[in-house]
Amino acid sequence: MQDIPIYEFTLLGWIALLPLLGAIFNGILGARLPRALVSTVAAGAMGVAFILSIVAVWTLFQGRFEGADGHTLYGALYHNVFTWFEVGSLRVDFELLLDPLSAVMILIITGVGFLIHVYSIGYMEGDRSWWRFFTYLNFFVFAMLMLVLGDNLVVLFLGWEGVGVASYLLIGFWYEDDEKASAGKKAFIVNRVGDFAVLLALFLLVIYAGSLSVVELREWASTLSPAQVTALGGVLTAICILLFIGCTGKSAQIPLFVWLPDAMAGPTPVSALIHAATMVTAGVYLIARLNFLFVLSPTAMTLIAVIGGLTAFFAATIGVVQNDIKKVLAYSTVSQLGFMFLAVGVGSFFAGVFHLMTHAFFKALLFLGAGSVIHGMHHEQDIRRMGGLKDYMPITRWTFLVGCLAIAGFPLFSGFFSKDEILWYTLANVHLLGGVNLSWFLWFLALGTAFLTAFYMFRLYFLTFEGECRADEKTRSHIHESPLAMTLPLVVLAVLAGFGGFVGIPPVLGNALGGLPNVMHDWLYQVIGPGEAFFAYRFEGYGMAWMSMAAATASGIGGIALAWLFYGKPSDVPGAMAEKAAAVHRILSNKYYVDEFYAATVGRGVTLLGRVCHRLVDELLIDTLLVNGTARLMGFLGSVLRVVQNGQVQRYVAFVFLGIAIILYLVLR
Amino acid sequence: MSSLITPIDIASTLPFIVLCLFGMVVLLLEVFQRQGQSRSYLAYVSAVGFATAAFSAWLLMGVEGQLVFHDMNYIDGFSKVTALLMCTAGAVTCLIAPRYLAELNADRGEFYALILFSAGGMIMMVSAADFIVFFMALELMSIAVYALAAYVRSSRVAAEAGFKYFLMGAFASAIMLYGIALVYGATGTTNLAAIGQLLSYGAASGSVDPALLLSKVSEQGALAGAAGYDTTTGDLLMLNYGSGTANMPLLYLGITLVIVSAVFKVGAVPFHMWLPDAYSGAPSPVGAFMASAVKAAAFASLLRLLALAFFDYELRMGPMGWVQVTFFLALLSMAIGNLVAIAQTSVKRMLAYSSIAHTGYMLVAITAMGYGVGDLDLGASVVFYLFAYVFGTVGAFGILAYLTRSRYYVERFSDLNGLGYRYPALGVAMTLFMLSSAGIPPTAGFIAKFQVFKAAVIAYGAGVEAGEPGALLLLALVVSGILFSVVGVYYYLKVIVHLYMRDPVREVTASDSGPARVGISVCAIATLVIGLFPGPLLNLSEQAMSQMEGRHDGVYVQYEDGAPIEDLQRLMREGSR
Repeated sequence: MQDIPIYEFTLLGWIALLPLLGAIFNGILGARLPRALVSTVAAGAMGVAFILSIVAVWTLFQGRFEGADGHTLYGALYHNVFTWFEVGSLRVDFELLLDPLSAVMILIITGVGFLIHVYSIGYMEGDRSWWRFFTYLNFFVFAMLMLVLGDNLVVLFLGWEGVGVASYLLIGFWYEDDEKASAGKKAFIVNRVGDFAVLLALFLLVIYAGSLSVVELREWASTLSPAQVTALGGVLTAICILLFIGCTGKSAQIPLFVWLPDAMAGPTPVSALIHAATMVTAGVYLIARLNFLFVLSPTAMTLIAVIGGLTAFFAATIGVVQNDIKKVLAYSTVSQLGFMFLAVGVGSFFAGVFHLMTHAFFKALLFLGAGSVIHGMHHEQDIRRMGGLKDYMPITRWTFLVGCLAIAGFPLFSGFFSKDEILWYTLANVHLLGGVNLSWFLWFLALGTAFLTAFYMFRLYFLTFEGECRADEKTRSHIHESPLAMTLPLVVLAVLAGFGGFVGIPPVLGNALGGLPNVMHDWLYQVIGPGEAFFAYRFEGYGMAWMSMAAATASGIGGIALAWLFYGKPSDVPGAMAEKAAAVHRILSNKYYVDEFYAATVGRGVTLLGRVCHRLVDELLIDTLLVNGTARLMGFLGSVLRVVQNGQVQRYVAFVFLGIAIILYLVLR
Repeated sequence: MSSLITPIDIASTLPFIVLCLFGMVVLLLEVFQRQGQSRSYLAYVSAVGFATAAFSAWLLMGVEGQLVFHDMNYIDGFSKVTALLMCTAGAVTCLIAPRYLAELNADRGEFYALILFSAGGMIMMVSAADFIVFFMALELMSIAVYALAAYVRSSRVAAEAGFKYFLMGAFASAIMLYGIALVYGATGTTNLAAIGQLLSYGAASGSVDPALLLSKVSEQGALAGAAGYDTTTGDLLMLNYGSGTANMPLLYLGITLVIVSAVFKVGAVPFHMWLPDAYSGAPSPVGAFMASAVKAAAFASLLRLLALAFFDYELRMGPMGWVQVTFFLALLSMAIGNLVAIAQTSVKRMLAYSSIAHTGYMLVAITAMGYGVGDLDLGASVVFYLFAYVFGTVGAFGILAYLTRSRYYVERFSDLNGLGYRYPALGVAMTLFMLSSAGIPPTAGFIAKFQVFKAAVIAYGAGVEAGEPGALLLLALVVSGILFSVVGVYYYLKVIVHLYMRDPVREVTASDSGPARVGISVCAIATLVIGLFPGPLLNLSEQAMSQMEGRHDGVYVQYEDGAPIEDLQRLMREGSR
């Protein structure tokens, strides 16, 4: 592998610092300042951070050169803020690193983040904890930037925990409501499980690789000989699987996905920023970032692909029967994240990151659109009581439609390109688990998911915007289009969701259209190229690629068509079907009873363990033995020391003499 | 020898001079002050004095370490870094004092002058290159603090505390002087580095300065067999004692007495008896000053003494070496300090005992520093610990002072009941100080404890490698230190429990003093920031040790058939040519 040059670039520090400064400023002074100033500081910090990010990425782009293998490389920019700590041979620098991968991420985070800050100005209007909201939001962005910019995994982990805290604070933002507060707790606790696994993985890395710097780890991984890889096989697999468990927590995959739907209790801009566009994709980012490590463990890779595929499919089936507009989007997020994990699992880190990006666009758009609907309908979230909103909220409607087309993979919309890439790599690469090649299985799973996605998204669209308005009179009279602060971000995101896919034109299309390049893939090559080289195509030529693309398109359009049949016009088919397959419907509505299952096993297990610990450790060991024992010991010691420490100077001097005498005896004996 | 005082002499003692000047200014201002007028502004004047002194120390950072004032004083990294420490402690003390003094009708300017003079003494003490200067500075520091302890004349408790402190201090000074006399008798010099080189058992590669040695060793020294100089050949005669030291019980008596009187000031068990009375009897700001600056100065000068004069392998690790002394002192201090602190009902007394426990932890690091081959760089952990300790302690005492009103003292645990809700910022600050003292992340105290125990583990590793005796004992010391710090968590958390989980038993209203708030905030922020980003301070404390002038390392004696590989005599002969 070719050495990647890195250049010092101080501006990186400012990109991360600005949101932090905003959070500190608003956190300390915000309660006493006028609202306009608070939001201007918060959004302004984001805006400037976004501009600086563009400058940084442009600088990175300017430094491009041709690598030895003919690919364009960009090197990396770094800024060592300070050395955090040094323990033995482990040195942790607080170093920020910008390479093509983190460049994509910071543009999404600061760009989409900025839009969502602007949107929040409209959405949160009238909330009495206005300053608190913007403080948390800015803090979240800071932590997220730490996560993606940190070269050291400890810094990354700091950001990882930081976004977890921010997410907790924002889900439970309206903490007076018990249900919302406990949703925040649920998210935090479920994430702890994953975070613990990440910590274990970091410990293993320290032991075996001796470093936690991504740059150094990459070097370490690239110098491992095949024999060493075989020898380390178990450890590497353990590390990768532990990291992936962390990802299942943060990115809501099976088995730790249960917190994300509940997280919708938070304000909608939060759902858009944290629980759709940025934080939940951290897992995908982590795997793409450490792709050199993951490719060394085919077992872990296949596991990731399978979990991703299954999550995508099952979340999509649950999404079909949800009636809360945000819950539908939440399950769709889980499902799309599953797609991303499928992509990185099958070895196409590019497709994973690409889908991450397009998803950030269209899912942020959809959430913000949903927020606009909720805002317009005065906090009504049940789509059964909506309908016909296209007349009341034209901008929201059209932008939402763009989002739906994108996520459904309608040709030429952004989701089409990224989803097609995932499907193609799923089919083209070989994924062995226990000697069985899972390519076709995963491909059909993804294809089914694509169909379901299109179906439930257009079910949502038709029920919300088309047909007759089913809201009561009072609500209906108040429905209005949202203010400019909210619609403007919608329009910008709609443009991105519509055309964002053209940066990643697949080779099969690019070739047919006369050699159009896959810009995104070329950009990311430096980071993910060597990892992807581990995988080889099974197929010659473009035949199968065309087939895959056609199938994906057909399933997307099929889903839309079915949704139109069921919900586009008055119909009693859905109701009849729900009745016919009542059992299935019940299982789906109850989300496969996963929450209940966890409550019965993990929940009750932990309670039981707690009770045992209470009896044995707390009451017996601590209360009886230690506390009362210490008290008794202290009583004894006290009576001894009372004699000694009686306040008489003569006695003090006598004891000093005694002390000296004893020491002299020890020394001179 | 020229009798001129060079500019570098003046410049290098600038922090000391600044403090003394400010002390005099404060005294003068006091003279022109009408009775009954508020003297609070003097606190700011003194704080500015400390800031100026600290700034001058900072400016001197670039100056290369050297001997100044006719080899009486060092200007080096160690003295500068510790000067920063002392200035910080002094400044915060001055900030928390004014309102407290006003509440007790003791608002007079001498208070600040005494603090300034005392701190001047400390700075002189840690930069001393000679026992004479060292002792003078020690007394300058101590006498001011005796007066401070009894400063609130109307309080019988304070008077008692001051008097006891004075008696015990005088006693310790006497022991120190006797020890110095014995060491002088054995070596013929009071110069620390010269003593170190004379008493070195093996090769002091690189650190030997024959000129210094010859200029410092007196006739008596030569007569005592310390060093001689053949005038005809120019050869050095009988330079080091070699195995001869083993036959000099009086020398060891002297060394032991010097070390004992030094640990007396830091309050190690069994020389700690005065400490709880003095800390808790003295006014809270003075208690803060004694617990932080005085202790820090005493520890720093102990490091200096050990590193310069008594760091020879035989002196440390021999059958009569001081490592075994510090070992037991450390163990006893950790045990007694932590256990007795549990039983206290007064927060001030608890803090006093906890400071004994902290002494124990730092002595662990000093034991580690002296153990085996001896690694002076491990002393950096003590410097770091002192910083963390100073912020935590001054802050905690400061909060007690902040809460004390003319009607009542806030000293008992129950006085703190429920204050965490009434004064949220104060509650958070106190919680931080307690967590730091208990050594819980993310506070400075955690990193400090970690550094100290890490030092001991490193010394253990090196000791095992070199086949030193008793390495396991050192490890046992670390383990017991960790266990005792777990015990300590109990009484630190007790403060937090009272702050947040107990109902108030009586009305406590904070004095609401602006400067005190500034001082406490500085401590709280420093505690947190150092805990989160220890890097810079770690570097600074490492720098303090590595840039300590005249330090006597490189004396890692390696035996080969019982004889030192290189001997000082040959080296010195080469050096003199």
